[in-house]
Amino acid sequence: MLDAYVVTILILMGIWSIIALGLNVITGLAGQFNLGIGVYMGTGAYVSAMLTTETDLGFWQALPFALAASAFMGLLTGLPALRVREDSLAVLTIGFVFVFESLLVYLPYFGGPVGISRIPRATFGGAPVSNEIYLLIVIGALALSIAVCLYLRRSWMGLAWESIRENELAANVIGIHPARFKLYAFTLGAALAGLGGVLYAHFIRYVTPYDFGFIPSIYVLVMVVLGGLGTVRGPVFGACFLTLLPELFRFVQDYRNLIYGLTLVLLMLYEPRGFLGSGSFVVRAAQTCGAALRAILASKRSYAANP
Amino acid sequence: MIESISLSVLGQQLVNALALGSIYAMIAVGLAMIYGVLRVLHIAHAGIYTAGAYLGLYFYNLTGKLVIAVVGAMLIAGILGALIERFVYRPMLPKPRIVALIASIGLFICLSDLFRILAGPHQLTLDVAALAGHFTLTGLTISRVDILIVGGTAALFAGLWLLIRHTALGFAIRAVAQDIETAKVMGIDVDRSVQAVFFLGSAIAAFGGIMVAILYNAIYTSMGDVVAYKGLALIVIGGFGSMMGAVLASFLLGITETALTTYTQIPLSRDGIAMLLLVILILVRPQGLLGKE
Repeated sequence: MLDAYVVTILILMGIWSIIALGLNVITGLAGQFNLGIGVYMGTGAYVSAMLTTETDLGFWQALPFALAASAFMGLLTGLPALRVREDSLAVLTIGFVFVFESLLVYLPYFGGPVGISRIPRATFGGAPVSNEIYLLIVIGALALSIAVCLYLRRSWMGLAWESIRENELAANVIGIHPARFKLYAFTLGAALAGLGGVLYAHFIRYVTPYDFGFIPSIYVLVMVVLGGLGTVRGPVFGACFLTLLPELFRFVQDYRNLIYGLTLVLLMLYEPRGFLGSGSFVVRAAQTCGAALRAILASKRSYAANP
Repeated sequence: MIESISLSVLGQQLVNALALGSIYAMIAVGLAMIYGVLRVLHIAHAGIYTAGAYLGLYFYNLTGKLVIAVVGAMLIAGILGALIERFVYRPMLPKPRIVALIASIGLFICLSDLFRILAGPHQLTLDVAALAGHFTLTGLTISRVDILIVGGTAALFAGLWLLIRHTALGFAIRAVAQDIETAKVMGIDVDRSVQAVFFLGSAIAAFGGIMVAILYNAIYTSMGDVVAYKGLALIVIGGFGSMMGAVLASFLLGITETALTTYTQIPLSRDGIAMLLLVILILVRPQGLLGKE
């Protein structure tokens, strides 16, 4: 079987991919700035952690409650966010994440600054699962999330989001109610991020308020932007890449924020669409190669037909 | 007896609130100026503020003179701010708004890590002997630092007001803030005005950083984190780009934050209460205190 270390890294890559996809629904697809994805991730993680440690609900019984709670949190933060847009919305969502973190730290009910420990492993068929099986669960969840995102992009809702993102006023004029679709985006994106949070909590098995604060939220944003905002492949690539990078290069671990920060600045200067965003240099190069390859194949085929 | 005690507590809190408000105002006024000319949320401004504190400490240890430390830190922080404008924001202006915002966040986390690498992860102290004492005035203890903070803020703002209202540079800055294209057509050197705004705003933020470092006798890499958010929220509340609004909002926050932590039992940290207040204020008046609909 796979090395235990490799399994751990793969699980983390999957979890961060799901969270990045959640943020991508809100910021990438619907175009609503959100710098506080930690709120939804934390809601999922904390609800699941508390239900499985305080009651005798298992991982699977607690999961629907945790997802519902994070979706509800999305709705709850989405409602006031309707009143503001762009820069004010960015500031407001940073405010949410600070208040959320502060609440978790100061309410002893949630375990205070030390958080919740001894979160049970996920179970399958009554027995706690090994990390290999958990990896399969994470991959399943990621596949489901990717499918949902791909479907959403092509659906009527995805088109509505695109129109709001490009021009809210025009969308309103052609009969798309921006408030309704923004709320859908917040709710769905929050549920995805909450799913990632649940998987995170039952894997690390120990959560603190600081895992879901402003800086972790920024990490998720870096993942999404690095990969390509608004695409589905982009956030997944960004999350996998940035989870892998510190493991591959030790010095990245020591200078993590410096490198992440510099990467963000350089990307914004030279390739704001991200590595795999539509129209980025990687995608353009791939398209050129693909076209060339097709042309070569076509000429070979025509040569084979009538030499 | 009880009345006189509560009165002196009230007076004490008022002094604290004024000092706190001054610190907020020093951050917010630079942010508001920068938003005014470029329409950029300059999150990395908090990095400049932290840089100011570290530079102040460096110069103070080097020379032992507070004046040199303050002036040196303000100068270098100002130049740093102008460099950020030149090499980060200026090339991004034609691109969508989120580009500059994300770059600013990147710059901010990059700067805090840079301080950690250069100065070490531990909390440093800035002990200025000349400012250690305090006065006792009819039951109130007013520390010299408080006086320096409030007085320094007043002096800086008076200077800034004169500059903006009564000099050619100030006129150019106001013109650019009103409409960058028209200002350019009128023959105003837009780039120079924007650079001046970044220089001034960053120098004032650095002053704030040093004052906070002396007040709490602490310098650490994440000292700008909470300030970053509070400053941003303050300029939203003040009405984007309005300097007066930002200053007003700063003192309002200083007073409310102090009052709420003294007289109520909200189960949140001091900063948590401030954040909650700011979130509520943004929701109640999205256009800001002095902003128009």
